Amino acid sequence: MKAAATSTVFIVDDDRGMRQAVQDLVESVGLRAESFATGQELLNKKRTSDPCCLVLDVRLPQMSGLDFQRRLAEIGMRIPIIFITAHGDVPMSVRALKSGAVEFLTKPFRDQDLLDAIQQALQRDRVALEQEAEVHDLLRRYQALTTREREVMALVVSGKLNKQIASEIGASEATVKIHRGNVMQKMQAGSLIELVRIADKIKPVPGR
Amino acid sequence: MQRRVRKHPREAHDVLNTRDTERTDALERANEDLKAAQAELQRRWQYLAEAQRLSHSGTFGWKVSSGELVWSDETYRILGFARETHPTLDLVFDRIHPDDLEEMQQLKDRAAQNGIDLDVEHRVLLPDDSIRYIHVVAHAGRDNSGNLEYMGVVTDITERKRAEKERQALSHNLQESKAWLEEAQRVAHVGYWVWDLETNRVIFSDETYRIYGRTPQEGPFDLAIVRERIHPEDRERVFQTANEAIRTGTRADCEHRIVRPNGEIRTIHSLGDLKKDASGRPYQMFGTTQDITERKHAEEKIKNSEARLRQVIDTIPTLAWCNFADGPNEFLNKRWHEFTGLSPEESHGWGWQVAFHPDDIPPLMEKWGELLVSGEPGEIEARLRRHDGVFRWFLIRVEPLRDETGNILRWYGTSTDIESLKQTEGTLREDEREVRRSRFYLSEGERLAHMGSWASSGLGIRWSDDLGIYWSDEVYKIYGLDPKSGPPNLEQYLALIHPHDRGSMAATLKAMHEQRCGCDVTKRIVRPDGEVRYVRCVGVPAVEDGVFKGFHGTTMDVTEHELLTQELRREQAYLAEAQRLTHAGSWASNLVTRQVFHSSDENNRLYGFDVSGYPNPFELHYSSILAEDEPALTTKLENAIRAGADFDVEYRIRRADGAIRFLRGIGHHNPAQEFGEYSGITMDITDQKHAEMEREKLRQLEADLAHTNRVNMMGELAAALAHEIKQPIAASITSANALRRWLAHDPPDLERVRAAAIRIEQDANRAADVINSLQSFYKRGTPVQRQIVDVQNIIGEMAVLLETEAARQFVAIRTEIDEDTPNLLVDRVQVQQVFMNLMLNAIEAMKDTGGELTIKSRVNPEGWLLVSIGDTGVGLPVDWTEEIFDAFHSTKPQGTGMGLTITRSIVESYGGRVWATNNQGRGATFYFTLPGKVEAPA
Repeated sequence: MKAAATSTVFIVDDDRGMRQAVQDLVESVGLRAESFATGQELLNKKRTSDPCCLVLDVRLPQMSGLDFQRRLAEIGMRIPIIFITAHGDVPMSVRALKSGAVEFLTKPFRDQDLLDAIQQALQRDRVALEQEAEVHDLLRRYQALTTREREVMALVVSGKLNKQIASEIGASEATVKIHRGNVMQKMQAGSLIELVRIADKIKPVPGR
Repeated sequence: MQRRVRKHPREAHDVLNTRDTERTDALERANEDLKAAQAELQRRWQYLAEAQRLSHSGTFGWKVSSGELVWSDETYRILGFARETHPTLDLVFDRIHPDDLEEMQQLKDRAAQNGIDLDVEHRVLLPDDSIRYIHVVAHAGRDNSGNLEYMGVVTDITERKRAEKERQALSHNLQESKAWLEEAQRVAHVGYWVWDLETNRVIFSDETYRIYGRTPQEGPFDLAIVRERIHPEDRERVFQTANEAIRTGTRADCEHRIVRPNGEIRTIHSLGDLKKDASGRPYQMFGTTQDITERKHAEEKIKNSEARLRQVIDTIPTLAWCNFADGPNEFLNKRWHEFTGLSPEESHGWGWQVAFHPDDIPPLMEKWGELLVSGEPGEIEARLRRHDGVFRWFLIRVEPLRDETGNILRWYGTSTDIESLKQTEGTLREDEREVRRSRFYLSEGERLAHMGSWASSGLGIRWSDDLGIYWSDEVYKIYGLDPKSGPPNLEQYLALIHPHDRGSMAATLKAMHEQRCGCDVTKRIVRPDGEVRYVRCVGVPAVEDGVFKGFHGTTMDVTEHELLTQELRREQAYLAEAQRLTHAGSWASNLVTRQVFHSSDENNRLYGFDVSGYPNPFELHYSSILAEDEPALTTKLENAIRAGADFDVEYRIRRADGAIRFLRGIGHHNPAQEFGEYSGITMDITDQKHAEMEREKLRQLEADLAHTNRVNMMGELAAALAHEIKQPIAASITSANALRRWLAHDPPDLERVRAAAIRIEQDANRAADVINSLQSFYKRGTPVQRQIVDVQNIIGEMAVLLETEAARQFVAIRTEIDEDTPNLLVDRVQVQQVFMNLMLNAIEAMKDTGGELTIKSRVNPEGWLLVSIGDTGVGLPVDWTEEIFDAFHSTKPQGTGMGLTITRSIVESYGGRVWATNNQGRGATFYFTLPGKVEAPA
């Protein structure tokens, strides 16, 4: 399992016994694991580009698990989270899941439930990483466009015809065609539909 | 004379001619007459010579061509030559005065050439150095041969010249004299006039013209014009006088006025003397006129001042007189006559003696005699009889008037009425002794009292630096000055005042001056040695017989007094402040006579009365005591008074504003004081009382809550322990799971298995420890005690208990309690805890904003008590859930997360419910229900 070897499971629990037990369990299935007593310790760690997930205790001193989850989102640290709690209830779990948690487990939990959740979380992270890489690639292509070409691309994906585009940017239709050809080539889009999809993917960050 | 002299040459000439002719004729005609004729000629020649001698005239003849000269004897004499001398022109020129020589030479040359007639005067210098004036007259003619010759006469005119000179000098002198006379007339304003009685023409001298305001060119005048010029009122008199003088031949002497053309009136004095002709008939009056206007005026003035002087002498309110050098009286003034009623005749000489008291005449005369002898001024007292017969004492003063040589001319004197003085003299003498004695006592008293006296004769009358200040010695001493330095002027005085008081003192003085009002000021002065003293200065206007005279007053050193007063005032202020702060008033009173000696402001304030209008506030104070407290209080006080003991009582009063206050009175009786006399303090202990009661309540509540907490600890701990236990158990399970998986590895990782097994053991032990600690706590649990509880009472208590906390967060507590609110059968402490938890939550929700906490209670249709506790705070979170009632759920940083859990468990233990809602506006409301209808304990 190549993927498993490069994946890491982070564990944050203030209870040392619980922390060690979870780490031991994760390692017993061949995954890498690192455990911390507080969330702050995890924040000090640099995230790698490998898939990873976090097993987080809800009740923590200073900052609760739910608060830490919010904190991670605020600083833009995207990591799938599995909550574990000794005193969990439905509303709490609902809130955690709504905030993007992969799973909400009540201690004591079944070991397979935790391991399944971990696998699920890692998979989710893996997909997210691939998406990020693709968007990154698309953005790199997009950055290769000239200002004029970006202008033309925006108009093309909005469904405008060459003629309309020409009159809008004040150029001849032939020129628009050349720009359009360049855009398709640089963005490595085989068709108009593909270009629209690409545009859709990089849309959330048009500033880049 | 001259004419006659000048005839001579012609005659001589004729004679000479005649001689020549006769000579010729005699030769030709006859010789008979020759002799006679010669004799005649001889005779005539002698006459001529004689005539020449008498007239100092000589003749001469000069033949120009031959230079021959012929002189007569007299000519020789005039020129001072002897008869034998042969006359030559050189001799003549030798004699001519050097000053005239050149002129005469030229004349001679001219005469020799042209043959002109000569008529010249020149001087000759004779050998005796005398100078003579010579007049030479000569006629040029031709002799028969046609040669030029001169015949002439030389006359010594020296005498004539001298006379002429003398006459000229005399004439000059005369003119000068006349000018002087005119000047004298002018200066003396004296002119003269001449009146021709026949023609009635009048001639004036220059000065007379001037006096009349005329010019000499206008005169002489007709008498009528002169008459016109005389003042109309004097005109008749003047002419009467003149006519009288003419009639009687006497001198006319008259003063009268004239009117000058410009209207000016002058007074003149005219004198006129008659001139009579041989027949004795007067034909002319010669007179002088003198302008005496100025003199008249001066005389008038003298006359006036004399009259005034007389008037003064007669008017002065004293008797004045003048005696001759040897004693008898010359003059007594009008007053003297009026006083004595004696006429001048009666008093003349020694007659005045009758005016004196008979007893006083001998000493008076004796003294007068002494004065006459000694010539010294003197004074004597004597009684003078008034016209009505009353004798009055007079002081007579006399002074001699002496001439340059020291001889006494007159004695001048005055007599002054000293009757009233005499009368008061006796009294005065006594007064003076008294004054002297008083002054001694006064200065001694001033010294002892540190009080000086002062007076100012200027203040109020004039405003200057010198206010006429007088200081007694003690004032100097107070100011630390030497009396010899004299009283200060205004500036010096102000300089003595302390700078802080100087301005106000200056203002006070100014006010005293302007309003003539008194003063009573205490100010600071600075002594020369720098010491500051407080001085009180009291001044009152001094008025004598209704006339303002100035100010007098006292100056007192009040330093000690002032410092004491300030100290007292300060202490009083401190005391009042202390009383105000402690709500303690002081008083002194006789409780038997019910007389109040002292009641401090704070004491009055305690009773809530303004006692300023009441002389004796005792009844006012006593009547405010609550009726129910009064008997006990009175008994206590009576017992204390009877025993002369101190007391310490508490009682309530109804203050003027209706408020009920608790007072504590502490009285102390000093055995030295009168029966029933106490001094003490009164304190308002209302707040203290209230606080005491509150404290008591809270103490109870605190105890109750402690109990509740203990009771509920079980539940809370159960929840907490559940968490504590789950943790190790969950860890054990997980470790067991891991262990199983390590075993499943091929080959099994025994190292990891063993590690997991160890952890399982540890975690299991941990769980066991937790359960053990729970057990030990559980044993101390307290059973619930139900009882009938008044919810209104609990709400009131809780409101009081949390009042401070609420106020701290700017939260107001409001209660709306339904009157039907039932009593409950509950554990009182548990219900208190429910209220406390919910109310604290509400206050907490409003801690940043402040707001209102509302407690409502009512009975719902099912008969349950429904209580709501609402706030206007932050409200519940948007996505709040029932979770808030769960243990360890806290939205507050310091919260335990147990408050609502306990609340719910308590409420639910009675079968009630607890829930929460967000308000329409701000904040949230928590509700709970409790079973209302309670019949009997379960």
